Amino acid sequence: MKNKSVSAALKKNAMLIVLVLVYLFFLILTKGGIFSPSSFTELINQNAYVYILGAGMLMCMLTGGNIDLSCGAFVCLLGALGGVFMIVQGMSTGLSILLLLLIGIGYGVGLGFLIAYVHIPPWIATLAGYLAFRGLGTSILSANSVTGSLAPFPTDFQSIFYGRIFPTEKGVFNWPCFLLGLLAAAAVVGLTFRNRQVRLKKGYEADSVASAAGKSGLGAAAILLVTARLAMDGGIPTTLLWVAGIILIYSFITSKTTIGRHFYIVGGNMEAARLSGVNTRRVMFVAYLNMAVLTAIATMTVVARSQSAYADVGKNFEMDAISACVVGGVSASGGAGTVLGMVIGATLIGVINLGMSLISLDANYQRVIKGLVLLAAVVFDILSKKRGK
Amino acid sequence: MCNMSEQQETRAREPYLLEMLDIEKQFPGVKALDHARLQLRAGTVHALMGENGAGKSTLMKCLFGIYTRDGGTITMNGEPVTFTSPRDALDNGVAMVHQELNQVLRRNVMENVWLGRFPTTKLGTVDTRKMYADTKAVFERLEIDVDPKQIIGELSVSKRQMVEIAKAVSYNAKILVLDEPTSSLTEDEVEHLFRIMHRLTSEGVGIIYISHKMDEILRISNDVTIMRDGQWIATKSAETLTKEEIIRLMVGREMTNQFPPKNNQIGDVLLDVRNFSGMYEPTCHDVSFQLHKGEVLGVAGLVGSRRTELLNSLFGYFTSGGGEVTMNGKPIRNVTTDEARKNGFALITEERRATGIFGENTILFNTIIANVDAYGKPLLNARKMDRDTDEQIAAMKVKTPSKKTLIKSLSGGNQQKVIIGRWLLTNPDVLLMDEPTRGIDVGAKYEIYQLILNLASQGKGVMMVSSEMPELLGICDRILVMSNGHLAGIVERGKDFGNIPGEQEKIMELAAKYV
Amino acid sequence: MEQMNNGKTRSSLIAIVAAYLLYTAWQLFQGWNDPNTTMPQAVMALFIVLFAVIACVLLVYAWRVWKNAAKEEEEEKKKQQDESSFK
Repeated sequence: MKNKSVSAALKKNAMLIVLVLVYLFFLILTKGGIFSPSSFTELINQNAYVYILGAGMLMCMLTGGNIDLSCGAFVCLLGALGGVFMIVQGMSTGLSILLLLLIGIGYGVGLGFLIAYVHIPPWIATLAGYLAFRGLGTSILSANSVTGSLAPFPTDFQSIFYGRIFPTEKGVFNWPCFLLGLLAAAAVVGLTFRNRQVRLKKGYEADSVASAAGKSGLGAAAILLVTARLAMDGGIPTTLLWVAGIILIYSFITSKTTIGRHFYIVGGNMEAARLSGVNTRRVMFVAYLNMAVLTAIATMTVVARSQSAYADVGKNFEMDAISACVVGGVSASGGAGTVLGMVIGATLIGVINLGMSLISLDANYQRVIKGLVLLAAVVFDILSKKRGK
Repeated sequence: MCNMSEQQETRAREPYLLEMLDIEKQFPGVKALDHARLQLRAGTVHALMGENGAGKSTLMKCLFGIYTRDGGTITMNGEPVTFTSPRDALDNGVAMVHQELNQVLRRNVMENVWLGRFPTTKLGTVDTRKMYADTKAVFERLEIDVDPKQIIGELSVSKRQMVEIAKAVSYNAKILVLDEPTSSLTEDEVEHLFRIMHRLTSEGVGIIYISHKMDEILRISNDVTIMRDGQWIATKSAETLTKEEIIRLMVGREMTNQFPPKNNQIGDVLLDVRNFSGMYEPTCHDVSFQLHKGEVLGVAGLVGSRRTELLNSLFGYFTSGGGEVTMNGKPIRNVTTDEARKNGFALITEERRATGIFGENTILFNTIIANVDAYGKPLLNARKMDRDTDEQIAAMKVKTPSKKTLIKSLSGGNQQKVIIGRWLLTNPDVLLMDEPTRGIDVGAKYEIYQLILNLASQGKGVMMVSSEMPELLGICDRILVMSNGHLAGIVERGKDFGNIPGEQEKIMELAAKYV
Repeated sequence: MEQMNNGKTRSSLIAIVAAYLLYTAWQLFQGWNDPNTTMPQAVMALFIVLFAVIACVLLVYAWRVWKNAAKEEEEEKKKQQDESSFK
């Protein structure tokens, strides 16, 4: 029915509209501060972990509202281990990264096994990690350092996860950056129109030319804007590549692949999936293995940015990732939600975080606002369910 | 009934396509399958019948890999098999349409049909184009008119069931299990399904058909296996089987008649209803009739004829609009249900789960709840309540370990009996019953018919709404026929119905009068 | 008409948000005597109470959603067990 797609489209666009409004709000509040080139860089770097963890959390939530409470604490633990590998033991960066990934995979396999095959409820299984890992990480740190933190990480490590592509000086227009932006913008417009053609050929309904032009135009303009600002701040941050890469990969997986569909289907009706021969246990396993691996990647971007491993790293990460998903319209009961939605949600939270710190808002107010945003998203989710019934 | 073609006669001499022998399955506290047996020949329809809890679905779930059997053998074409999961069964030529439509409502039709076997492109992505084409092909072959791209949750339940059937057929399985496939289908769609089944059997497919609808079974099946209490009772050819014999085998006792003998006497006018209407649309209008003491007055009509509204308005559950009701000569108006009860009315609602039982409470509670006034103030006389409940349980023959058992754990039939028992405690003169035997198995139905006739014999007036023509014709003295909220006519036993040819047509005609 | 699958997981999520609000209230409470904060104590008190109350409401709501989902599951099971005997 048309109604459903209209209201769903409104809901998705609603968050986009909210994002723009909030941005404008902070634009005024920061007297343009949030529009400075360094703010764009900061937004991406500060917020990278939300996008990465959000992608993983999205996959978990799709399977039926399942979440991972342990990712923040795991970041602390992996960060501590990374510090030990690279700083204390002096191992090569490549080897350390590999080890960290392997540990992430190991955790994912163990967690996935417990959840999918032993049928431990995910929130209990990950709660264990939430409670245990930070303590473990902290003890590793204090065993290896007087100050309780490990620093600095080797420069080549930092350049992989926290640097710039084709760097230039700040204030000098970075042409490679902008050209990449042009390419991306062109790709967005081109793909949008190509998809439209394909849909029409298959007999689906498709947007009008105007609406397709509008949507892709806005997207392209946003990309150009961002890259232009970044160009004035020294070029594309490396983290952007990681984030963009992950977003693109997961968009592809969720929309085009069989396993991606299986996530939606397991979340939509697990019994139907099972009776039709879908290996639901494997889907759950993959969801949590995937989350652990993404957590490892997120750890590396976070640690590279802060240039140290410390005990408080990762605090609140799981709530941020969940917030991004919920705000971005991922259904709290599973079976619905998109990567784009999560991205919008994550960006909204990032803008709020950045805006609040730019105006040096008191930490207490920041906490209150974060709580209110999450509350609003949940209330919105509840209300939309009620109307749907 | 299916005629045995030459083809099928040849098949009768071939080895079995599927043999399930001595199947055992134990659940904690209950032996679900005890030497159960099913032998299916290729190219035939084999019906599986039994009361609720007989083990039909359990047996099929053991076949399909949902359950693991504890004992016994399953062979397909002579080869022993054990399927460990639905995937295993599907890959080996066994497909099943389940009683509950297991569909992912948020996704579209074609994704549901190809769930678990999405076609992929060379790159490994889902080939939606092929999926659409394949779905269209299947639907065209089966003459089903559904758009593959539509979200399946938006379809009507009957269309969803047709999609589920198409899905099972599309596996090109050698063995097809259909569990209550017609429960939500219209008559045309049932015919359509039968056409599909004929085609499949002529191609050598073996179909196992689980259903309670005896007419369908006798029409469509070659063989019938009857189960009771997890055990195999009998397998007979459908040609030689009669309904009575099926009932006897299912229930385990001789049931010479489907209905108890009628010997209630009709007395004076009890209720005189003139130009009665409900207040709020949609409702009944301008209904006039009389209910006599000792009479069983049926209320027939199509869906939407507002029979439930008539009963509910007479009881004061719905607000009444116009008209007069006189009881024993005295005008009454049941404005509230409390008043109705005091006037000697009782209402047994259509949906006992929703508006009848207090599911989380005991049988004791559910029995005394309409009669609470009789047990004293301010403290309730527990001993009296206990005694009354025991009496009702015995009188209604409710099967339960104790009166403290929660009512939700009883079978439908026993729940219904408790509700009837509840109202009998209030000593009503007029009993309004809305689909009293819906969702109840054959044995319990007979007992409820007996109860109704007993009540009539005691001089009470019973009005019974029912959608089952046989039951109306079997126990009613007269039948009101409602049509679109109006009374279309009244038919009488002996004159219009009661082994009189054309009786059903006459009633259907009246039912359609104002539609 | 969307079928409400997984009411149980939805209720878990609502419970977690409630827990987060309680945690936030707790954090505010811990900083009650902090001289560096610009938030007046009255406002702090307001939010502590507000969040605590909303958290409790959400917890109750989550519990209700859980019970409803459990009840619906039972009803579905019973419905399937009943014989449907329409003509």
